[in-house]
Amino acid sequence: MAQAMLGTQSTDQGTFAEQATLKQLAMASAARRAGFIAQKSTPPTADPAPKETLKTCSLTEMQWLHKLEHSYFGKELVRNWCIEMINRKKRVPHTALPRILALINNNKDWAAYLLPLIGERGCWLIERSDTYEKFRQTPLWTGEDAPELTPAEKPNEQVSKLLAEMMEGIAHE
Amino acid sequence: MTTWNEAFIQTLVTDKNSLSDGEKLARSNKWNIIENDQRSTWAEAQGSGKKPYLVCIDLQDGATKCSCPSRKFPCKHAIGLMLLFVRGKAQAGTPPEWVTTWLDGRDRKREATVSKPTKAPDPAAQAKREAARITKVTAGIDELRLFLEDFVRQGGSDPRAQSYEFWDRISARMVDAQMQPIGARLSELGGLAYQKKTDWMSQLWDEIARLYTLTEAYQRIDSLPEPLAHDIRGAIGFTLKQEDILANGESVTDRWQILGVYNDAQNALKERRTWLYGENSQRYALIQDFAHNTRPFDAYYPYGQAFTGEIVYYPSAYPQRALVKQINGSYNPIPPDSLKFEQSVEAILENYANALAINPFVRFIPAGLTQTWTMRGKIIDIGGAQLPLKKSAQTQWFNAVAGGNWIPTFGEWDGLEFQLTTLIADEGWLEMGEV
Repeated sequence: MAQAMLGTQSTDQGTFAEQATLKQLAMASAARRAGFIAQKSTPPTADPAPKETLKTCSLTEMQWLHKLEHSYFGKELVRNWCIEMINRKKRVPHTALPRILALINNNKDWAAYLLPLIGERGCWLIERSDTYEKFRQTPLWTGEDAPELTPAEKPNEQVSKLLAEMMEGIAHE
Repeated sequence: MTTWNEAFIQTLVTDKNSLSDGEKLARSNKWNIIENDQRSTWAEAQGSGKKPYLVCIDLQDGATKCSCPSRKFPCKHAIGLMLLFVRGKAQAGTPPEWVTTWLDGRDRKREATVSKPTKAPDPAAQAKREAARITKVTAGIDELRLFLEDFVRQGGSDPRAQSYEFWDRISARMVDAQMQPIGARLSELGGLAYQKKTDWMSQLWDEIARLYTLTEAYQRIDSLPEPLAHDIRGAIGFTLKQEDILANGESVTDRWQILGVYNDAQNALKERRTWLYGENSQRYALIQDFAHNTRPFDAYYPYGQAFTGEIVYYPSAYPQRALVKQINGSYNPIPPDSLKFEQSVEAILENYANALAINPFVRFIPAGLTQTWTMRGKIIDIGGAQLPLKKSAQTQWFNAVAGGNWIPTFGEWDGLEFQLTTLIADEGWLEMGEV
């Protein structure tokens, strides 16, 4: 590969050096793939997360979260969505946890609203993953800071309409 | 009978927006008639116009038909009807003519695919087209070889190697030469440097070497065994007619487990790879579907389910790719104790080495592990042996759904990286990255 990195730099039009290099690379490639050696380490011990106690948000409810998150003028309604889910004693599905935990980790404004919705599995993940090490040190996680959760204001008709649509959309969930 | 429930519906419906719309519709009062019999369920759904939309579902395989103008398959009306059906809202009835006509048409099409009389080809025109294709490909192969040799002459530290444009240009030339798969592989090289993998340069050379070997093999194709020659032609971009495969290919009837689904997309084309495993034959089959971005795939095979049917393999030194010729009956969930996954990473590596020995151009093999863990971008077996994941971000998702348990997973191994496709967690079968 060193030869390939540097290049043959041959100046004549013949391609013997290049062909030879490529053939050697091909053999090395085949050997590397066929003879792949797996690294080994002590296998982790099973460490099952605690059982969940909250109901799972439905697909429609999660769809509304996605819609609000990406809405141009309705982003702050994510807070309203969270408060509604907290009132319904719900949590996000396990499959959505990486996305939600990333939001919590990166978005201080929403962290307090989303945290109650991650369930036992989400707490378990935060405790164990290096990705959330900094978050584990925040007052929000340690419990020293429990801000009051307030719904977003409705500055205009568009936002009010979106909120009404959302509430109607998840009314039967 | 297929086990129809909401989990099964979620494997049929790939568009989450549609699922949500279907749910909303199912809860509305826009339905006039909702009925079913053994084979199908049908309904009338009121839209914005005067006439209601006519919706029906073939309960054997989940195929849907709706008279609405939506281009999504299944549309929200079909999904709404599926949900109403599993929730017991359909009453027993006799299918109306528009339902029986559609079902009869499907049955006739299925029979015709099996025994379709092929139109007698015009030998002279066919030979002319074939000759023209071979001329284009031969020229394309020569051009590719010159390009790769020139790249080696300049050296891999050439900054152009990190440019999308550099690789897209040669990719386009290969597509012009009717070597689309080669074009696709070259196009992917442009993104390697940006995937934040420490060994990206070695992966680049690995792929370049494999492509060069392919060109060498093509130039000597007449001296190679026919099954291997088929693999080379397929890798270059020559296609075989599905009707020829169905008529002449190696046929296997078995109970097929649908183990994994992987979706990929490049430019305007999307690809779907569905892996099947025959319980009696103990063979894997790869159903590879392609569709334009705006079109649905021809058929969906729900992972986690099994069906009895006939598969026909494409000719190959190491047969993997196949077509589904016939499905007898319906889908049923795979019993967990019938899965034949490997116990260790070593077994997967051995399988791959054996495959490579038979077909040096095999790109990946199916790989299931009975007990798996992931950590820091690696998949780990119960003995602690690790394989790098193709996408290290899959670790977070895996841990979220596995919840600290060792769980069965299925994917593809390409000799260097493992692509997770499906796993079995508390919630049942899940497709990688599903939200």
